[in-house]
Amino acid sequence: MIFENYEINIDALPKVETGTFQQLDENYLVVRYIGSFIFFLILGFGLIMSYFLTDVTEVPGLFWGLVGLWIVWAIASFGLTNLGYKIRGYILRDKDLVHRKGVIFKTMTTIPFNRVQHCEVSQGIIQRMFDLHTLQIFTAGGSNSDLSIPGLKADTAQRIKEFIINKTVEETNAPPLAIDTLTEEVVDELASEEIPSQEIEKVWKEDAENLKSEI
Amino acid sequence: MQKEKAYNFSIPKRQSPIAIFLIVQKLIEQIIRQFWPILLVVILNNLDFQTKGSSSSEDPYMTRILFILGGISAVGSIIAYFKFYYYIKDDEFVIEKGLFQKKKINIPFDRIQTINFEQNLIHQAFNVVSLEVDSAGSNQKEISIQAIKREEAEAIRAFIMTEKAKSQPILQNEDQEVVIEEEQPNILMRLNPFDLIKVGISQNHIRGLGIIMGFGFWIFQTVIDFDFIDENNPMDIIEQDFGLGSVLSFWVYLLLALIIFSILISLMLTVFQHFDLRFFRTKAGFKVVSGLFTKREESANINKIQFIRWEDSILKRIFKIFQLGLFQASSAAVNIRQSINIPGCYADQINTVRATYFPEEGNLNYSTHQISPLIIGRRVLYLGGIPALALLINAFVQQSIFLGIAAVLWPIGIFFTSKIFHKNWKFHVSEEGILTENGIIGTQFTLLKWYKVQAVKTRQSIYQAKKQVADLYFYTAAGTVKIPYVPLAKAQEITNYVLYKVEVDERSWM
Repeated sequence: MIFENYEINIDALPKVETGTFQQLDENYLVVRYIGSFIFFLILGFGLIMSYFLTDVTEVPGLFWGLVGLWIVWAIASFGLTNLGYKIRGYILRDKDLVHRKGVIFKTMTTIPFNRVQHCEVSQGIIQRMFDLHTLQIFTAGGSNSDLSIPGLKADTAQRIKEFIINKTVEETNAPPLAIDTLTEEVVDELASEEIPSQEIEKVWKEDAENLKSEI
Repeated sequence: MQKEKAYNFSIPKRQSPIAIFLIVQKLIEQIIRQFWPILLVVILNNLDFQTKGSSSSEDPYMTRILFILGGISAVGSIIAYFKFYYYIKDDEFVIEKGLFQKKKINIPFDRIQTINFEQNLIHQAFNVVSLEVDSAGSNQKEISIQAIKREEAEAIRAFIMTEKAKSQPILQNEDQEVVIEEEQPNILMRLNPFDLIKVGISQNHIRGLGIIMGFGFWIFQTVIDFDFIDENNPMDIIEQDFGLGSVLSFWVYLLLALIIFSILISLMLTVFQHFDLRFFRTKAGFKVVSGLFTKREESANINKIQFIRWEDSILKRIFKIFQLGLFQASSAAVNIRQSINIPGCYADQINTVRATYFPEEGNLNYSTHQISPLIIGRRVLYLGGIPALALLINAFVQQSIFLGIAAVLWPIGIFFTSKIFHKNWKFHVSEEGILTENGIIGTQFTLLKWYKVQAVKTRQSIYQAKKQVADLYFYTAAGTVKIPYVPLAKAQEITNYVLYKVEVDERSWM
């Protein structure tokens, strides 16, 4: 026991490790396969080009060694993709979001909603073919602790996003210390006074424009 | 102070005309920094041209293009100066700028984290400062004004900070109330020249050495890329000219020169950066003023400080000094400038800062934990084994006994340092925060309050997963605190507890 001297019961705390992880959409596995396939296709093309255009054949065995490496890497990558899909998942809890991923390095990241700055739903080209979306969650101070969960159906992604934004609004707009003295009306008023999600989006749009003009 | 009233911030204003100089200066610096190899080629080729009377015909064009580009940018910068306005409107700091595309940047006061000043030589000569506004949010959105009169800048900062404080009475927690009672900025320490030399000598000289080597290598590479010198092995030249024995003494001299040079470099950098450093305790937090040529003034609001870190080394321990870092929430990622560094702190100052950041620290119960000893084996394998294997292969190829001995000694050295590394890595856990302690030669301490955490991560390699240990990461708005090789059950318990602490905490954490 690490926190023996504390009035709350540590065992009663919600446990991150025992939750059941929501898997990503099945089609996301296909998305990943297509992505890998394209990557290895390009790599293979590069290999073929090197056969004709460079001196790679002059070193005995080098070309076929590279081809062997290409094959092994491709097979390993497809295997890892499959495994990675099985491991990757998320748990949406009342006050935070847990995200697990990685085969060689298994990571589990949890972001409490009251530390979320901003949420975004985006979509890559391959994901678009299957109508899948990526949910991105941003925290303050750089990209280290930002999360992105790919392979979500449009409405799932939107719903999680709304859920998180509502939670952050609750957390940030309720005056922290004086909540007991305020009537619900005041709280509602405060909540409706500004809509942070929209405002944040506005700021982000501005930023994107700034960035564009700078480029 | 009376001058403050004379400023009307709501009228859009241009920067001080000195900004034009500064913009042009910056531009020239940039051009030189980016194109110096080309410039060098141009200059050398021109010299060549003059002496020999023949050279490649392309180079004059290159020069011309360079001048035209430079000219265009210079004119652009000057126009940009005239199109740049700043003012304050409705609790927002506004900047309007842009030549072709008008841009208007508004930063509401409550999003402003800190306002910092900087003065280089030109600034100092004209008594102006450059002003930087750092704002909240994970996106990089900074306002900076190149040149503005010092008094005006101070007035703006005072105005914004008082307005900001007025609009956020709720968020003032106990810590801040205590601070407000003190009225005068309280000087905590001042580096006198003697202290400065101590700091300079006890710097990490490996960094200085790295800078020299990196710079030397970079010049060598760039120069070779531009075909300046023949790729003759310099060693061959030395050997030819001075005989075989000279090669060895050449290396010895080179090593000695490098060591002396890197100490000098760190000493010089220290003097430039930390000359007449003064560390204040202010109403809102801390303030640091320092610098020889470029005067820097940085401030840290207590609320914005996410964690603090202090460290010593062998040399520092002799002088009984620490280097202190205040890690502040910032808009740009983990930016060095946002984490205020104060070298040459004594234990007294460290304690003051600790007590300010974490007043309840002394009254808490800490339990001390060690990381898993498995880390020793892993370090020996990766840091010891892999280089040893490379050395061994080399030893066979080159038939060198010297390399063979190195291949044996290296992993043994790594083993002993890893044992020390493991023994020294400790973390002290309490209800409200954590203190970590690590280092092989020196010791680095990190103090983090739980409610500053904004994400928790555990990371396991395949090996770690098999052995039931995990690396534990606490992310804050100012950087990451990492504990390696924590037994999994412990890591999970801490994770769950920290999440609970963060989720029930309603204080503003930045």
